Amino acid sequence: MKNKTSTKLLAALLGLSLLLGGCGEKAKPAPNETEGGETPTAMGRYIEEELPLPHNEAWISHTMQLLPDDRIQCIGEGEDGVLRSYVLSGESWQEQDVGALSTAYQQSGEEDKYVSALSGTPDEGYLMIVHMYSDEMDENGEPLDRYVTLQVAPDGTVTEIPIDYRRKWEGVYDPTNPNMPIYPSAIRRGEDGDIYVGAAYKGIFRYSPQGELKTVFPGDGGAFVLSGGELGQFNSEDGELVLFDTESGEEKSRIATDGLFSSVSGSGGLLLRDGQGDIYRADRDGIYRLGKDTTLWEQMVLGEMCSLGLPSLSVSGFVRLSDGSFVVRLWSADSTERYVRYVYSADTPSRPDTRLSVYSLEDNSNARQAAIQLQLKNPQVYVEFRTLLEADSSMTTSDAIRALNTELLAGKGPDVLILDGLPIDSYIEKGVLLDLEELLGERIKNGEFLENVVGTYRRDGKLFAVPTRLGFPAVWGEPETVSHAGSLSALADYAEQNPDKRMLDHLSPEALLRDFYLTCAPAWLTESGQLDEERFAQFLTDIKRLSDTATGEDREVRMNYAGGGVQTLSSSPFGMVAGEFELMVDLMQSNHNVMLNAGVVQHRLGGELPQGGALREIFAPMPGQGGGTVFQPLSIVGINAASGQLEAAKEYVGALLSQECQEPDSYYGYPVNRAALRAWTKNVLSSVQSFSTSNGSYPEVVIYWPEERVLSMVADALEQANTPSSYNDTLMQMVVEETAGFFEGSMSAGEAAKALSARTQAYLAE
Amino acid sequence: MKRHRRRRTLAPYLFLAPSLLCVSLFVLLPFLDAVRRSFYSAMSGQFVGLQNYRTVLHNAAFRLAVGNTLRFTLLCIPVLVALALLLALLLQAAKDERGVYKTTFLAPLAIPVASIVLLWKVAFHQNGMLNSLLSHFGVQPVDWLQTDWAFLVLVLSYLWKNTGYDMVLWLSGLQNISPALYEAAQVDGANARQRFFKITLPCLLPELFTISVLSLLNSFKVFREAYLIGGDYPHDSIYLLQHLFSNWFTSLDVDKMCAAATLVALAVLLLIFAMQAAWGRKENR
Repeated sequence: MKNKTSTKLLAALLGLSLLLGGCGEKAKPAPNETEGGETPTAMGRYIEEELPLPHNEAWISHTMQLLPDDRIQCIGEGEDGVLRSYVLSGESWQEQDVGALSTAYQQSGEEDKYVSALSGTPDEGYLMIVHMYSDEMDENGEPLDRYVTLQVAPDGTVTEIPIDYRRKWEGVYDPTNPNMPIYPSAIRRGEDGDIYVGAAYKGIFRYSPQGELKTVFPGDGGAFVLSGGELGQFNSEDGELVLFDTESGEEKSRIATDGLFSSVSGSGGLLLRDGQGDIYRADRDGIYRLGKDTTLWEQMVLGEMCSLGLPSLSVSGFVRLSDGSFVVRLWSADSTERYVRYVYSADTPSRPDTRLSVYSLEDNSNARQAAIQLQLKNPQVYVEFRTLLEADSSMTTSDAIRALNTELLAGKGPDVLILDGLPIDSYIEKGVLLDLEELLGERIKNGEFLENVVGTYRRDGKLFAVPTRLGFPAVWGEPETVSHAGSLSALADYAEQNPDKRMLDHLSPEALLRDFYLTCAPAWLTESGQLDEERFAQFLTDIKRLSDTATGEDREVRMNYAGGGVQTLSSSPFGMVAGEFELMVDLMQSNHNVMLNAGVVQHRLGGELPQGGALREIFAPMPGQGGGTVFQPLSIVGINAASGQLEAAKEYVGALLSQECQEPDSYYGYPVNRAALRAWTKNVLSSVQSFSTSNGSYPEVVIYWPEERVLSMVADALEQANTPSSYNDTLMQMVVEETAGFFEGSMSAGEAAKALSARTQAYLAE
Repeated sequence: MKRHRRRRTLAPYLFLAPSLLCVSLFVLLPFLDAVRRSFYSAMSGQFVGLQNYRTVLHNAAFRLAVGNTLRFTLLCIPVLVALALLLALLLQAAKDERGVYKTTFLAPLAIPVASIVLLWKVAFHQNGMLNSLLSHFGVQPVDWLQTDWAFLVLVLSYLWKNTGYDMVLWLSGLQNISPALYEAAQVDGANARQRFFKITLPCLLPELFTISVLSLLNSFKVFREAYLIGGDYPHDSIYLLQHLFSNWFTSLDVDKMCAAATLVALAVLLLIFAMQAAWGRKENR
């Protein structure tokens, strides 16, 4: 009896304890909470201020440093190749004479030259490394450029320090190629009078004033700090800051960064050390401080809330003033620069009250650019940009989408979605996305954007998603060949009629399926999502005809789908210049694509591109099966209809489509903003790029930035784009698997088309 | 007396309360929510009645998945049950080496699914071991995983993994049959065949119900192998219900997914009730 009673009591207690365990007295407030449970707003943040430019002319900065009197000095050269110095005093820049420094530069050599590294002050003298370009090559195909190291004393005396940078250093740290010579990019005089030279991906080299190598400090080079007998630089292999004893060359300590910085390699980010021994780092992630003898990095300025985080800019100068503020010089790929100052404001909330969340499947520089521009214009808004697929994550795309859908179903989804790779049509059908017709309709009607592109996701008069960039598959080659690339069939005909010519770089069936998928899929996928078997069979036949023109060891029949949604659409510049094949194929997303393809064709045509209307004959949209001009919508933006920040979200979309945001070349898509697209055609840079093989199997190919007429030609073609097409990895995989038999000869094109139709039934029926 | 009886019936429920609470919170309530969602639109929350059910029943992908799942279940469960019973009978006879054999047959259960799939890919890939072996006999290579043969590979995987588990359950049932029944039958002149069909099988009927239900539930887990082999859209022959549910969730077709899940749950429940009626242990009233 007693046992039964105690058993019941035990059971009751067990049940009660589980039921009531979660309840208790009201939790005491946390130290920073009030009794009402509200957390007071944290105050204090660095505010960005734009500084005037030192000059109004075209200018290349070589160094920015802090003078002993707390003024900032910038030294650079104008288009005339003369070095000039500007000093910031208060809010304005004053030009100052650099005297012997400029003369030393002028007299350093007759070749094309460039200041590779520069440091010093008028009172202490300057150290400068001048890079002399050469057209000659060594036995490894490396250009025989030379570097001249000059010392300019305060009295104007110029001395050349005989340092041989071309000597190859065994065992020097280099994660990419240990046999490459070093390319110096930083120089500084140490407290000991020795010269410290930094070379990206190599390390820091200590030389005596006479140029004799004394010590090598292996590491990432590029940016380093040097004071108090210590040298600090990053090691990208471990992601650590390494401190060396300058005298012995031995490592003193390593400080982990714990993944704080997105990149610590090469010249990414600048370092400085203040008088107290604290180290500061400025990069796209922001400004961080490492206290002397500590191991924790303190965030001072968050990159994603200011210009530091703009993908189109990189940090090229960094100083800290005695009042604790920072001045950063930001450099853009089109050689424009900006100077910004970060001043601490104790009265500003550390995080703005309004939070706008933006989700993207993968990192998107266009979206980040817009996020920062919105925050700069609206300091009361904080844009939280989140990538669903992190770089090191093992999460698959499907997992990421399911996680996002869970949030959407719970009503907690992001305010703005970057829809690349997401099921856009499903989201439109389910009413997840807000109608943007009211926001953008008028602007589209006024011709502000490429209407065919931005209207891709218009349904029944409503606009649910807007591509803010586009990719354009294209072919480049000699006029004779390009004229026969009007369609896939025509190209296959031409290939068969010219068996001595190889049409494309990649001729395996799978490579061809991938290359032509984008332009041909709209022809054999009907609007209802069914497969047009006849057109698909024709597609297969033409692909096979092209593939069959490959001969010998190039002929590859077996298909082995690798997955990953990777599109080929690439061609070797060497092979094209050498005449190994006739057409370059490329997915044009940037003027750098134009530079590559036009430059290669120019080589092919003997160094000159055709003039006038004939220019148009070297370039054409990638051949397809339909009559339209295909483009790939990119950076597609949509607003969550359930968002609680609709006004901020609309402003964000506006920012994404603004000329200001669309003008920088992000390498990820042409702009849909017409004014920005036309501005791209005027953006003629002085860029030069060279390609060379490590074994010298091909001669070096040097290409130059294209002329405005070439850029305009491409922009004109973009404006005609009217047929959207996107890669569908699932469908691509099915196409490759079901057509393997056809290319191996075991089934006809019709049978393969039927097999694919049956295979896609479940997918399309879902 | 009444109070005493009430106290006796209360105690089990008190012990069951914590588990019941967890199961309700994490299984029952979400299922009821899924049933509720099956009558509403996915995002707008608009009541649509039986529209989702009609859409699901007319959906070709759902019909394909149901067909495959049914085909798999109807083929695998009888084979698995029979094979496991045969092995249990053999093990029952082999008294000395029983432990070794039991471990051998149970071992596949302990191997992680991802490792198993890796093995299958090595064995059944177009360039895999099986084709390599067959080529010695002049047989053309077969793409086992991307053709209709994929269904057979899946069946094989399921049988290989679960036979040991069912065998152990059968063994336990066999050991619960009183030897006196066999002795009495032998005395009456019954031969081995008669003893098997008249004593062994009837006594094993309750176990048959348990094993069938467990095998049925385990058959849904074969989705893991199918998913790891073929991804979201494998070959049509191994496109199962879970593939469809997973893909519907990815495309936010939650309403259709809930309707289909409700239909499947109802079907499985009815099947279990039917099996219980046919083979379940009759409780003393």
